[in-house]
Amino acid sequence: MMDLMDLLLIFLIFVGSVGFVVQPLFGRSVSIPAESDELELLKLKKRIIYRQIKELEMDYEIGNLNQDDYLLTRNELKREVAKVIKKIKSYSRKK
Amino acid sequence: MPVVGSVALNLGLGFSILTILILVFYLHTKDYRLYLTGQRSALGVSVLAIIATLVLINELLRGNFDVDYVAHYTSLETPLLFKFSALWAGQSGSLLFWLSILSVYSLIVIFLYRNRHRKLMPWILIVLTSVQLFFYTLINFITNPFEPTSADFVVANGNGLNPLLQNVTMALHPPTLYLGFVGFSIPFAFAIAALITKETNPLWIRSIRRWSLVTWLFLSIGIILGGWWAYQELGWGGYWAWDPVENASFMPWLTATAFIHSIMIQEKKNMLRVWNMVLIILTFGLSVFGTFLTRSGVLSSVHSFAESPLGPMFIYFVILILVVSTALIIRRLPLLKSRKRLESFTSRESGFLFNNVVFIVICFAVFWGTIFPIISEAVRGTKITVGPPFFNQVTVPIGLFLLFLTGVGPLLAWRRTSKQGFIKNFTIPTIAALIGLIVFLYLGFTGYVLVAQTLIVFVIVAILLEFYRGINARRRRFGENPAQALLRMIRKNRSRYGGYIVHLGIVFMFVGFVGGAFNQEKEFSLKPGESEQLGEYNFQLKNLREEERLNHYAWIADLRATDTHNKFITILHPEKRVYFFRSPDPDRRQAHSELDIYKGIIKDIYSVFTGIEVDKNTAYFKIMINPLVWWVWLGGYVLVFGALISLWPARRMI
Repeated sequence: MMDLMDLLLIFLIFVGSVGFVVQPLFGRSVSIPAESDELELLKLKKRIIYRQIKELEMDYEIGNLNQDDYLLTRNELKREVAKVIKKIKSYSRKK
Repeated sequence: MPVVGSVALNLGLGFSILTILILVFYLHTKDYRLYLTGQRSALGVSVLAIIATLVLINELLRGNFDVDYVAHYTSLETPLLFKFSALWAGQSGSLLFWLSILSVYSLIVIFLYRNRHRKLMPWILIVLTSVQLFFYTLINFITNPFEPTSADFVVANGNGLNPLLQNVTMALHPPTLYLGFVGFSIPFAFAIAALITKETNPLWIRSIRRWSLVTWLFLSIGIILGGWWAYQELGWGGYWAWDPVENASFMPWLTATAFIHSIMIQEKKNMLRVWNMVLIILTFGLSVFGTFLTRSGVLSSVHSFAESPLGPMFIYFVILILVVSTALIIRRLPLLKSRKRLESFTSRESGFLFNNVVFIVICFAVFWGTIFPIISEAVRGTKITVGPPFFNQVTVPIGLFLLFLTGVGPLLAWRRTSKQGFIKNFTIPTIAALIGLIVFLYLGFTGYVLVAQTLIVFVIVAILLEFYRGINARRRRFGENPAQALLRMIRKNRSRYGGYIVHLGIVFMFVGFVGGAFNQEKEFSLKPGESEQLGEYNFQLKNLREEERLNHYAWIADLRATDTHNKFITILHPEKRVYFFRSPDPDRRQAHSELDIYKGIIKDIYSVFTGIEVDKNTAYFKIMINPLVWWVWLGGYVLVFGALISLWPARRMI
């Protein structure tokens, strides 16, 4: 048998959850916040390449890589990161 | 109070349908208020599941035997901890527990990414809510934990929890396993959302990498705890029996391990994007399949599976996951294809790719061995079980190759390893392995044991060499002392060295697995004062005691172990227990052997009190000498430690 306490709890859960869910519908129309994923993506790419350079230096220092491979890969990564930084700057200027 | 739980489940079901509809509507109208409503509705779905779980916990702790589930899995005598753990002891409770963990994860996702992944989030919420809807449907319509008892009398006491489950490890094992199983829903939801929205950039990969590692860690801990429980509680002397329930957790672990390796390549090189999608989907599919295996009754008989709609619903759900995901991958194939190719066969990328293939091959073998009895019973009417010999025959050689790759991986450079680099990196581990091989041959080892031991030496030396070189490099560059260099090196490269420590843990586990080849076992009976010999040990029954405890009656043996020189080693206290001993119905009384283990680095002495003849004052024992088992648990600790290092957040330098 359902007692008064149970009924009260069920009522509170139902009214509370429905009220909480539908509340935004009664507000003013909201515009979708600006998409910042593009800039975030560029920054992430920059972080990943920097980390790769750091790991490459470590691999070289501990002797996992010879000098030719190290220099070749390092220059490639540096060129790549330079492009990303350029894009970040132009994105920030546009903003 | 149970009615509150039931209503919460009904409401949760309604809200989950509502959430999906609102979010789909939002995707058509782009009215952001609808997204906020959908997000709140998703919050509601999760909160309601948690409320229902809390209500069931309350009923279990109170011992409300009017609820059928409570009466089935607890009794007045059940200790408080096990009343709580009864939440996941039965089918309906464990499904509610699955749902509540997913709900906690969903709440974290909603909170963490409330301002990020704007394109992905509506779809992530739709996928997560769809999974919740599936579990809500099962719990509401097929197996409701709040179902009142069908007895037409007042139920004064419950059945109580199975004595085998009344163990602290068993109280921890299912939650950790479920945290792992359920956690893979999040990478899955991200993957599906990325496929639908065509957002296949590395941003979402970044977000799920940590999730994957955390859930992988939980799953690993769950599997290790399961082994620990089996070893301590079941009394057959082992920790892994290739039981379908064990395999159910091992399969997603294999694909998840492959994934956390290959995701690194996607992050660094933007390669293996299709493969990673396949791995995420497989891992989640196998997690749901694992829940189906353990919860549908299909393992005991195909017929019991058909008796309840639960099993078919799980199967339909797994098929739905696979069909929808595969269709999405095929549709997005042009977008997912990587323009980059592997530059060299001798690169770390290739090493990762090899390890991925090996993981998948092992997973397929385990999958086939697990479902074969089910298929044979369904097709031919007779259950043909493939036991440990099949699994060992297939997985041991592949596992050894995987062990070899564990050692080779760190020695290979990204992109390509030059000939000089190859010779330089491989020389010392290879020489060490060859010396090991000669020593092991001299000691008389043969076959897989010999190969495994040689590879163990190779991998340990390869990993330690990486640490040594790293420390030396820092000492040269910064003039640090070795301890400083070690700590700073790990701190600055947590992911890399944490990973190596995890590998070291796996190698230690292999040391333990090798020990299994030298187990000794003997069964005998003793009267007080008598003794028996096994290997280099002597066991004397000093005393046989009796004790009445809260929920069982116990006979306790005091078994004195000495070595061949009569040097005292330990006194073991295995017990023979009878649970529900007060029950007037003899069929309800349940005998249980509580074993005692003397643990050592070199070997364990494992004692089981198998039976007693009270009138003859005779006790029956099974004693096992299990070498190197300690290393399996040490490997587990090291694995967890390494994974925690990898997970520890680094201060962002850039």
